[in-house]
Amino acid sequence: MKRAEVVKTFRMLLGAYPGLPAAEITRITDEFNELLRVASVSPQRRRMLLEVVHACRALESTLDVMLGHFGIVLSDKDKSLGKSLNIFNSSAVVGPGKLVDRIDSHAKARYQDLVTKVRNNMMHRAGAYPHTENDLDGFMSVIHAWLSHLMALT
Amino acid sequence: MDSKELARLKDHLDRANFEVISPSIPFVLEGPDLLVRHGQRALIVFIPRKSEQSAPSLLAGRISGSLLAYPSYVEAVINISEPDSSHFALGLDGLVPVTTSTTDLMRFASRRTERKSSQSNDLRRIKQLHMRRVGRITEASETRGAISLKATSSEVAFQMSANLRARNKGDRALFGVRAAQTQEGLRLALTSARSARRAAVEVTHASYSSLYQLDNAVPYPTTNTVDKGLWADDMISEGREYALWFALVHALPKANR
Repeated sequence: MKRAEVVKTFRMLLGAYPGLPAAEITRITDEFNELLRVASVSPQRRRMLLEVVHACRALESTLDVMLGHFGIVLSDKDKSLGKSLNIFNSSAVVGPGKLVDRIDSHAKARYQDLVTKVRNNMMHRAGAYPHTENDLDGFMSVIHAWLSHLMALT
Repeated sequence: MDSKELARLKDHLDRANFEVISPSIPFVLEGPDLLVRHGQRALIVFIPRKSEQSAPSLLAGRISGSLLAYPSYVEAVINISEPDSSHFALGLDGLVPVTTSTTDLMRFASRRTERKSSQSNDLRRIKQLHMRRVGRITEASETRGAISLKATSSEVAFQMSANLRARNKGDRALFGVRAAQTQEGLRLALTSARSARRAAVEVTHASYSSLYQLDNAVPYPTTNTVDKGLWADDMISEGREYALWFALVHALPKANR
C-alpha cells in the first residue's frame, strides 16, 4: 500500500465530508499536499521528520474540525492529540450527524502509545528522528489506521 | 478491464472535471477501483474483474467490505463498459446502482440524489456492529499475538470446511487456501506458491459475501454470526494487517451453511 495513495484518498474523503467548513478543509488539504511534496527533501532524516510533522498536523486538524462539526469546541489550551483522542473515546462523538460509535479503548491505547507519545518525543527532544524508513512506515501506518478508523465510523 | 482501460476512464473523468483517484485505505485489502468526487458527492466505483465475472459473489464481497470501511456518505456504483457484460449486469441488479458507460457514470455522478434516510440509518447501524467486531478481533489479535483466537468450536470448524468443500465441488481448496481440521480448530494454509495476499483478498471477499447481502447499496448481515477464530499461519507472516482482515473469515453464519 503506497503512502501517497492513502494520503490522496483521505484528502478526497475529507473534502466530500458533508457539513465541514470549507476554509478548514482547505487548510487540512494543504497539509496533506505538503505531506505529498516533501518526498524530495534531503537529507533523509529531515524529510522523515517533516513527514511526521505534516501527518500529525493533518491528523490533529482533522480531529479538531470533526469535533467542531459535532458541536464540541476545545479551547486552545485544551487542544492536544491526547485530549481529542479521549473525547473520541467517549459517547460525546456518537449520534445522528456524528459517528456511529466511539473509538474503542483498545484502539485508543494503541493510538496513544504509537502516535501521541512518539510524536511528542520527536517534537520536543533534540536529535529525535525516525531511525529508518521502516520506523517511519510503522508510524505512518498507525496514523493511517487512525484516520481510517474515523472514516469507517462515519 | 485492464490497467490501460482504467487509465483511460480516469483520464476521461479527469478531463470532464471530476476529481478522480485510485483509492487506498488500510481497512480494505482490495477496495474500489476509483474514488470519484463531483462537488459534495463522492462515489466509490467498482469495475468487475475477470475473476469476479465468473464469481460475482467476489465482487459483492469486495463492495460490502468497502461500504463498511468507507464513510457512509460515500456511494457505491458498479461501472460496466464491455458490451458483452450485460448478462453479468443483470445478476447485480438491485445490489448497487450499475452504470454502463463512462458517460453514464458521469451522469450518475452529477446527479443530485441522496440516500434514503432509512438506508443511511441501516448502514450506520450495520457499520457500528461491524466496527465493534473488528475492534474485538484487533484486540484479541494484538494482545495474544497475530490471530490467536482459536476456533474452539468444532461445529464452526466443521461448517467452515463443509462450506469450503461445497463451494469447490469436493475439493477442500478454495481460492488457493486449504482448510484442515485440527484439534485446535480449523487451520488454513496456502495450497501453492500463490501469493498470500491474493489468497487473503479472495477469501476475505468470499466471506464478506457470505456474511453480508447487498440490497440497495446496504450490506445487510445475512444471519446471526458466531465469533470464532481461525488459524492462518502463512498469511500472518505476510503482516498483521492481512491477518486482521483474514480473521473476518471467523464469523461464519450459524445456520444453513
